[in-house]
Amino acid sequence: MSYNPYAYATSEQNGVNDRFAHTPQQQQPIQMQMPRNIPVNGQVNPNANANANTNGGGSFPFQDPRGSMAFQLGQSAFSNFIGQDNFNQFQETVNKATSNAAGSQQISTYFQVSTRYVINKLKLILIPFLNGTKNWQRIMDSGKFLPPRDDVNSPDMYMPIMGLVTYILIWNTQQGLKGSFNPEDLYYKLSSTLAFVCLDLLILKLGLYLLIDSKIPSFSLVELLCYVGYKFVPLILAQLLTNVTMPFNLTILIKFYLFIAFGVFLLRSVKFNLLSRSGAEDDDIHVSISKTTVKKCNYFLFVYGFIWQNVLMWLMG
Amino acid sequence: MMLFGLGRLFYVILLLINAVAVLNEERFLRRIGLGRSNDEAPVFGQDQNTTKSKVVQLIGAVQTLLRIPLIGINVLVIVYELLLG
Repeated sequence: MSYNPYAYATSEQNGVNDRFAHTPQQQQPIQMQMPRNIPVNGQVNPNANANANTNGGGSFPFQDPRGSMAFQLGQSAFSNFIGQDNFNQFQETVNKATSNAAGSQQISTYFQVSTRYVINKLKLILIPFLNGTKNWQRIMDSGKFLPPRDDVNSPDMYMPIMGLVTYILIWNTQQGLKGSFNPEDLYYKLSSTLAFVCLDLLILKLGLYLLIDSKIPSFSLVELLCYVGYKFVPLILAQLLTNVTMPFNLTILIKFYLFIAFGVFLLRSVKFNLLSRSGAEDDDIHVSISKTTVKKCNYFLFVYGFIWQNVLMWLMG
Repeated sequence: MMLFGLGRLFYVILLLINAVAVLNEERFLRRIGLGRSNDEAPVFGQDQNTTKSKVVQLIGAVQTLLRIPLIGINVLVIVYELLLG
């Protein structure tokens, strides 16, 4: 939510109307106090009248008008100060934040993998052409996506983390084979790799944020991190290739193929799942996704998946 | 290759945010059509979700939200670079 310098003017106008909008709400606590006050009045306690007056009950005949006026003034001043719209938005933000926090607790679902899933996913990353163009969508079961164990197309966190560790170890092993192993390199490589991953994630997130309507539910940051992290698979293979001597420029060709294949995988798996989760719930939002948005997303994902990923992997590898 | 690490990425991001934060609303942003006043009042019922309005929102958010923290972070980085860099 951005700061709106003109919000004050509108909230002031709302404040005038708010006084009328609030009257039903004001009477509610007063009516709740009534049963408590009535028996007190029955005892003809002089304090009871004072109590009733200070409580400012609207339904009592001998009520101090100053009390209710002060109450109303206070309430209108309060709603003027905060602004009803801002208050509602604040509540929405709080709700959203708590629901997001609850979502992040379910990060463990991204680790529910099986051997079969990992093998299938590796096949998917290395030979994405076999999968065709149809079945890239994640399977949805009663409003929730299935965990990676049951669905090949679901992103997982297991492979990126394993890939990251393996990549750093392999890189350092190769340094050791060359005879220039330095324990500090473990840290340096980790830092540099993490920095590249962060940069990558930042670009992907920013691009998707700018292109897609924020009301449409899209990928969470964890899922984007998964997709970003899959690039360790081709990176590790490319790293291993440097040790094998091959005729011609086969090494370069294989590297090229690996990167193109990863680009295809990334493009398809992100594209087909990007706007899918809104469609199941209500069709209104689905209709509002314009064709131009989808087209722009496709262009962005193409540039991101093929050109930027290749540049990045060339830089890292 | 070893030059680009997490620390360097932090500098890059800090400098980029600085660059966004110093953009002047009247002198620069409004002239290239990214001023806040351009879509200050959206038509009722019409969503404000074009890429341009999001860029405007983002710039506005960075300028209002990060101005004061940026002063502190910049001072820290400058002192660090002067003493140890």
